[in-house]
Amino acid sequence: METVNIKELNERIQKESAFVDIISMEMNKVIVGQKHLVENLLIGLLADGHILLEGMPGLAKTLAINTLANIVDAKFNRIQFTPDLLPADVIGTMIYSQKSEQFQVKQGPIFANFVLADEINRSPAKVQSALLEAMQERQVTIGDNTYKLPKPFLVMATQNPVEQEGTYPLPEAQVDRFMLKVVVSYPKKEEEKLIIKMHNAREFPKASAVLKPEDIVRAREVVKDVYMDEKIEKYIVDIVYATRTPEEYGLGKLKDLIQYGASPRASISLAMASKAYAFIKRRGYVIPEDVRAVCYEVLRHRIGLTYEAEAENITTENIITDIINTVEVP
Amino acid sequence: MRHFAKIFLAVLLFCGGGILHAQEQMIPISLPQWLEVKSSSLSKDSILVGEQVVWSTVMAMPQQQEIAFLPYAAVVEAEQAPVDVVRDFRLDTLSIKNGIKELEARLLLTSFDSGYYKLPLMVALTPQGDTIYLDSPFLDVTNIQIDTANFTMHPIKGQMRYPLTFKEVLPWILLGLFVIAAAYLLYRYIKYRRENRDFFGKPVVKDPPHIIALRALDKLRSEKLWQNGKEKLFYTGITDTLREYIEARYNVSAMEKTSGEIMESLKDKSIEEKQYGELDELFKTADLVKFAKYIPQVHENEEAIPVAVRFVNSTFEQTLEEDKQKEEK
Repeated sequence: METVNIKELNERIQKESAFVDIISMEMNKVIVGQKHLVENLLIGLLADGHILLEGMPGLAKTLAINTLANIVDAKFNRIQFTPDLLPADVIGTMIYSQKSEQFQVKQGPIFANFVLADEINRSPAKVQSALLEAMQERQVTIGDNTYKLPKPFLVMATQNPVEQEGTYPLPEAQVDRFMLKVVVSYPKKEEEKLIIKMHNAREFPKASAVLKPEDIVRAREVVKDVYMDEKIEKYIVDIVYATRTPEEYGLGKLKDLIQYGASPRASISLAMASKAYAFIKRRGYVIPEDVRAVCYEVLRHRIGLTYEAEAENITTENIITDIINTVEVP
Repeated sequence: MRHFAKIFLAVLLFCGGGILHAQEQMIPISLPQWLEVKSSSLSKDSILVGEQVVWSTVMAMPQQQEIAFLPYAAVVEAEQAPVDVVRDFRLDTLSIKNGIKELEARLLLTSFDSGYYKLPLMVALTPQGDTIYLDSPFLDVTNIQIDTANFTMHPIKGQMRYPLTFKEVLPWILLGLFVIAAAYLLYRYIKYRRENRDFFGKPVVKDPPHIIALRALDKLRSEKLWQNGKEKLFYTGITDTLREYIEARYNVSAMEKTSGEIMESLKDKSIEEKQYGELDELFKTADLVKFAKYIPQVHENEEAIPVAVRFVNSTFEQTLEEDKQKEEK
């Protein structure tokens, strides 16, 4: 049986997670409100998962990831996805150099620690596939050579919920590769007033680089060590299973609303994201609150709705709410 | 009589063909002196095709005299007569008086060929070996006259409805009674369950939530779980009991809520501050034990059940208890 010294682990996590407060402080200098977005960016960063963002334009999505890159002192690239974008524009290509009379590798914008794939659904499937494959494999093959992507590597892809004409919606299998799907909402009135004030000031605040990419890599290892009890594992499995066979959990009414449930990758992501959340909360163990805190972000893009559900304006969020209100908490 | 009939049939098979053949040759009808045919008539002289008619022959003879009739179906078949035997001879003794017995032979016949026929003769045998031919009546078989000038087609009549017998209806009656009984029992079960009564209508005494909780906590205490290193089971038992109690007492779905959410939902339930704080602390310790392998101190373990008991005792529905006591008085 695995023995875990929780006291020691807790102390270690207390020490290692101290930077979370610093990151939050630095982020708050630049980003007003959007606490939920910032928290999920950190979860994705610490759990080594990519994030799909959905929100209206102008909600500080790009600024948030740019600021995070500045704080971590990491390389940041932004790729604006357009219908004429090619896979080579993302991953790179071989260019013939007349000077050396040889083909040389020109690495694409994906070679960065933080990549913002803006409006990912505007590009055709082959470009999306190139990016998603790189996200999964964490390496890119150009010509005969394979190049590892830098660590940490976090892709934040955005989707615009409006203007759906001329878009290429991500297939279910590819959406599943994003650990979290975060829905970004408008700031509150007070926050928006503060945003105006900040922009009217002579100098826009800038976040300082307080971390190195290596710190994040090390923190990820600590996150993996966060203790997860069997009861929590069972709770996660119950939640994920309830999306597949709701009738077994007394949720027969959801049976006709769910076309397909969450995959085993959802269970893995839910466990990892819960650990990262516990780490952010500076705890060495996961409690049911952690699972519930990340449940919506992990599951909302992994549940397929039927036509009946769409006709009745039922969203995946409604389904998740029903599930977490029914599955017994350990 | 039966013995005689058997002998007669054997003789018949041997010489029947000859007898029948003889009929074709217009055998003169001669009756023995001891036999007197009192009547021989059909129930109807004229029938429609397919209609049935009874041929009844009454005869008188000495009491000791035996006589046996040849099956009329065999006679009809041998003669290829245009009649069919529906029911063959039925011989009944009508009376025995002064050494004379009166017998009646009844036949049920029909015919599917129209025409005016003389029915084949009745053939009888005596134990003495005499063959007796009894005269037969005429039968007029007619068709329904169709007025072809004014004929109108009618649809085929439906199947004739024979009256149902009780034997046929009985299974359906029993099935109906069974369904009614099952429906009644189901209705009674649901009704009584709603009214919190058992199947026989007696009210089920359900313990109030605090009694159930206190009993469960007492059981946990007696199991000495933490003393045997089963702290996780001990705290799981305490929190589950408290969650069930909170669910029943405050109508909060505590089993599906986290500790933090439960405490949040209890904020507005006017619980004493001290009990609220103790419960919060107990849930936090329980979470540590359940999810973080925390091994509590002995005094924490010793205090866990008393804290839970204090919470239950200070929050159970006292007003209802008082009302019940008043009602009982």
